[in-house]
Amino acid sequence: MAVDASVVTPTVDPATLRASPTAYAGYLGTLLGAFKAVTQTLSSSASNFLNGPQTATAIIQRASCGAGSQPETGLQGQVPLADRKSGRSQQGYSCNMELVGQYQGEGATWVNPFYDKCAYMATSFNGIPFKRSQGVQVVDVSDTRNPKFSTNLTSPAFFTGTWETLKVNDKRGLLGGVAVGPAVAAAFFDVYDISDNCAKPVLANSFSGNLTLPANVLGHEGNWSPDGLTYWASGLAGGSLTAIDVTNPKKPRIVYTGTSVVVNHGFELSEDGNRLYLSTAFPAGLVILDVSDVQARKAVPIVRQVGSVFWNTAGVGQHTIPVTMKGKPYLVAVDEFAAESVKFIDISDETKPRVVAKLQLEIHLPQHANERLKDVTGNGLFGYEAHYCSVDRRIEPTAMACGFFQSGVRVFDIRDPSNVKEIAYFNPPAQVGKAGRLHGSEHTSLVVGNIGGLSASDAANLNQDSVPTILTRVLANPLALGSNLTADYCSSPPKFVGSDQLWVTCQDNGVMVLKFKNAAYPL
Amino acid sequence: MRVNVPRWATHVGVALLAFAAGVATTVALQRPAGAPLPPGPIDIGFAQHMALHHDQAVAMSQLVRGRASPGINQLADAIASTQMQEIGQMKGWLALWKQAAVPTDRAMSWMVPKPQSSSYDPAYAEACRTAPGGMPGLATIDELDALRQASGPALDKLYLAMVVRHHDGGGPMLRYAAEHAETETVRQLAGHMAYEQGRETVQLASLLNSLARK
Repeated sequence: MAVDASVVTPTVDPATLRASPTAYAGYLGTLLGAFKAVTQTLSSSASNFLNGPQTATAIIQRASCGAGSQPETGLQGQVPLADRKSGRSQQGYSCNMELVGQYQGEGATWVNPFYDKCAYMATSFNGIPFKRSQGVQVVDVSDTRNPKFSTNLTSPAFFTGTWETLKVNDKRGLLGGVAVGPAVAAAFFDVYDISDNCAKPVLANSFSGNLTLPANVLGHEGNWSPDGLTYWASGLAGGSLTAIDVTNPKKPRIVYTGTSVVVNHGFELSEDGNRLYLSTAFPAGLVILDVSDVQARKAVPIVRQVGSVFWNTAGVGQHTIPVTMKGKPYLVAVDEFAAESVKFIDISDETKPRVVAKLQLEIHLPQHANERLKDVTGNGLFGYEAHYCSVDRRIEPTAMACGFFQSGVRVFDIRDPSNVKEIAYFNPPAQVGKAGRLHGSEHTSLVVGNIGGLSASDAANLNQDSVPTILTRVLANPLALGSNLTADYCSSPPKFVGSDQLWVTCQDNGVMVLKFKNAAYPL
Repeated sequence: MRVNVPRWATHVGVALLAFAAGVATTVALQRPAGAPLPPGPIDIGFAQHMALHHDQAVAMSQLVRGRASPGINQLADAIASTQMQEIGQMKGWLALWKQAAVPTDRAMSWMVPKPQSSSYDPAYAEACRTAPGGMPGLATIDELDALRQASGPALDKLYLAMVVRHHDGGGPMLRYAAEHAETETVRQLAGHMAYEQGRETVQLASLLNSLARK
């Protein structure tokens, strides 16, 4: 999630705002005016910007929902305003999937990984003053019908909030993350050994150890090299990029610090660890970096750019997944803004990556911009956009599952990348009225939900109310700080487990074990 | 880790650097106005490599900030803020030119011999070919670790020595770009940086010498 806390975090005490509608309105007016000016300036130049090939949008074919489904009532991916008002969205929507077990806890934040029979729920920085159980929540999913809280991890980074950096390396059984806090921060990297007992992680590096990291080099997103020997962190601010050698998890050591593009976001690395597929924001795009010097631990490592492609000046590339489909190397690239959704990028020639497919749900189409605005207004900064995806395997994957914020968790048949079909979805019950119990959820926090219902993620399409309209709404109900929770935020990467399960963590509903039905999967 | 900078060599080096920087700046500023578009390979190569070179000066300065003595802290702050501003300027150009923000190849292929060049230095070109990272003056991972772990007077001295070496290593690039970059604005910034870094190196070397005498 690319939210600059310096822009959206209140500089006054929220209690003061609640007590004074006039002060609140003034504050919001200033905030919204600035935000709209920026986004409209960005989007006005979008048409002149694109240097990647224009790609025809491929509408993802709707799933055929079998017995036991509770299908969506509107467009594909939509939670209509009527359902939000009537309470229908609080029952959730499902298609060829059912809930097996759940651990809600106090909710979770953007990215929450799984390992073996365990789930790790990262926490919201903004919820710290209110949470009952601080830090990363470890959930034992051995009994899929009854996932249970095991312990909580409160080392510095995990306590502060890891945003999109909490990642597992399956090969070595390591769980790592950096302190992100409000949106960008530095100074702490925590790594846990989860290889012996995933339910009882062991902190490998003691309190900051010798890792006195310089300011602004850590950041916002993180990930492991596949061999688990290097943990990378990227920052939104200044394009910082940091590599940490975790060969000895007890003594992590920085082996690279530098900057790349101006606004870095999520990434993954090639299997050999020599390429870093970096998503970028403003403009949204992909930069392929040669990080072989770092992987080889050269004395003076230099990171070089191999290729790039950009698609939207006002978009926010979220993350990438390297895959091989029909024998060709591709990247799955997700964009969390502008209804850009998910793309396939052909990297056969890595110096000239090509966007070959832009996959959108019906609700993402330009002609449905007004429905989007009506539906998601009041439910925080993010609408129906995608955030994190995963595939059932990297080589010749058959299925891809994605968290689509308010559209829930959705699963697609991608055996033919030119003809993607939806096979199942699960949009969990909206948790209206439960914000007070969900302080681990970023969705419920002031940072995400405090600016008068503005759906920032769709701003690139100029799809937002006018400032006076928003202010009128706010003044009519000045105490309505925060999101209305009429749909959950499913922002975390799902995980295919066994032959017929999908595990996922949504921000308000927490950890959920889902099971495919009606022979929807395996394919 | 120790970086040995003999006192006499520092003085001579700094004097030559400052002189050359002044000459290069004069040469750069005397060139006729009018920026050729699109940018040339020297513009692009310089902006990519110098931004990368600056990255490490910023990292070193951030590593000591708050831990070094007050005077060195102030110096580190000044170096970090200046170099970050310049990184921003160079990355801004690269964005406008739709070029990669980081180098795209391993060689300093943009520094080619030029006829009657006052700034092209074959010895520097050779040093680039053999230097770890492809540019002289860059600290190794081990040296940066040593800087992280140093404290007290040793931290002050190590930081100063590493930045002197860092500035020295970037000097020939600055002077070459100040003379040969295709775009006037690039030549101007390179000339300005050559002058400023030359002046800064004098200050740093003097501080280092005075600390060494204590």
